[in-house]
Amino acid sequence: MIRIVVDRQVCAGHALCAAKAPAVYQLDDEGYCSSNLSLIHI
Amino acid sequence: MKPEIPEHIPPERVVAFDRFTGPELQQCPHRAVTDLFKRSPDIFYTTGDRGHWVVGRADIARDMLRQPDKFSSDPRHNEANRRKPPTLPNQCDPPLHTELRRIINPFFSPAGVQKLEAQIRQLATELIDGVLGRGECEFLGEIAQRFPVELFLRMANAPLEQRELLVDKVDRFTRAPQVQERLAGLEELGNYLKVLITEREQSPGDDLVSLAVHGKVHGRALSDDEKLGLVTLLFLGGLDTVAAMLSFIVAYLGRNPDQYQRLVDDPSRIDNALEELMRVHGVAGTERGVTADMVYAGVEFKAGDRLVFFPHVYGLDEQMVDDPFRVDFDRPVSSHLVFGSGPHRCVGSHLARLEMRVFLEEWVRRVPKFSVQADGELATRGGLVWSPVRVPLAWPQQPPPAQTSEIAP
Repeated sequence: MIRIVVDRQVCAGHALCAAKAPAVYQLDDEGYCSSNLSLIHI
Repeated sequence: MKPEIPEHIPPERVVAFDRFTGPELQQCPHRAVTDLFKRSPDIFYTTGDRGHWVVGRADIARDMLRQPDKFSSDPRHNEANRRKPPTLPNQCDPPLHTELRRIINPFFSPAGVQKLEAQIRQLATELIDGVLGRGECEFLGEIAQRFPVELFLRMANAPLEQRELLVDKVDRFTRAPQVQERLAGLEELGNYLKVLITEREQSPGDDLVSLAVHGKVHGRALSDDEKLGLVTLLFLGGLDTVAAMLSFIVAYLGRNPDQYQRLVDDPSRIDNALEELMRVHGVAGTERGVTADMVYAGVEFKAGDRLVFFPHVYGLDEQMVDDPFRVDFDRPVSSHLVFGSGPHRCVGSHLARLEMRVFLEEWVRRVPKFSVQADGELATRGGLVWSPVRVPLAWPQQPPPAQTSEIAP
């Protein structure tokens, strides 16, 4: 299991995470990585 | 008049290069500039374009671009980069940069641009069909300078009739050899946009200009300069970069029929191939000002020194990519910096990729074979954004559709 933490202070909103892995990363209304990520199983 | 070389710059780091008029930029600029960088110090100084440093190595550039506190986008630290109107948010640093970016990010996010796919596909189809029967076209002028530009003007809800005029102003700002001419092109663009901004202040719509004009930073409305700067940069990005890159890519495919055939045979490869084609055909540069005296990567910098970066060719750095000039659609990763790096990484990258992917999908479907009609290499132009001058293409004319009788027998 892997835990993903998003540091919203550092996130620049390039949205590359959501482009590469839309099933894992969702963007909020402002186009930034959503902080509501659940635990991801791999 | 050539600027003097500042005292802190050692003679062994001075190399002759002009990013607007240099001979390296007249044809095959990607190869010529990569060769120049290979035989020059990693970071060198040129007296070209009013004097500046050039960062010739991809890894050093990437690290510098991620440190806006040392290498700033604010023209306060880069006198040669002052302009009116300013362009924002590429001429400011975080935290203002982050706030301005937040206004336009939703529009340009992967989900945001995805909404435009049908519209993009329809325009690509129309433009290709418009020239298909002739068996030839000048790709840059007839397609590339229309496709992304008309899409952008629709997003901005700006009149399409102004297209050629606007493209010309952006072209002058981006590539004119004389700095006065470049600034005049920018000022004219700014004057046009001021009118558009006033219009959208009074009657906002759901277009990109309205979004920018009514955006907020730190909870306050934007100043007039911020509005103009933001809208100006959107137009600069929307009116030139994809046109240039798509022209380079299509010219490459016309000159390399075996590679092109792979995409015709299996259009599902276009997505991966595009990343590799972008890696070797970067078009846009960027610059920074040094914020304080420092030694970085073994080089002594003074506050206010100007640094120019070449994301055009960082994907061709052999320290970053094996056998960089081999265009291999099956590379697991096409490592490049064509959209830059750090906080200022191109906001339009998802849109640019989508536009080019959809265009190529429609192009392979309609034009299964084509060639570049030119002896020798195509002429190109340097500047802030590199571009071919003309891309004449030809393809076997398809038999006209069978005549159908108007009167049923």
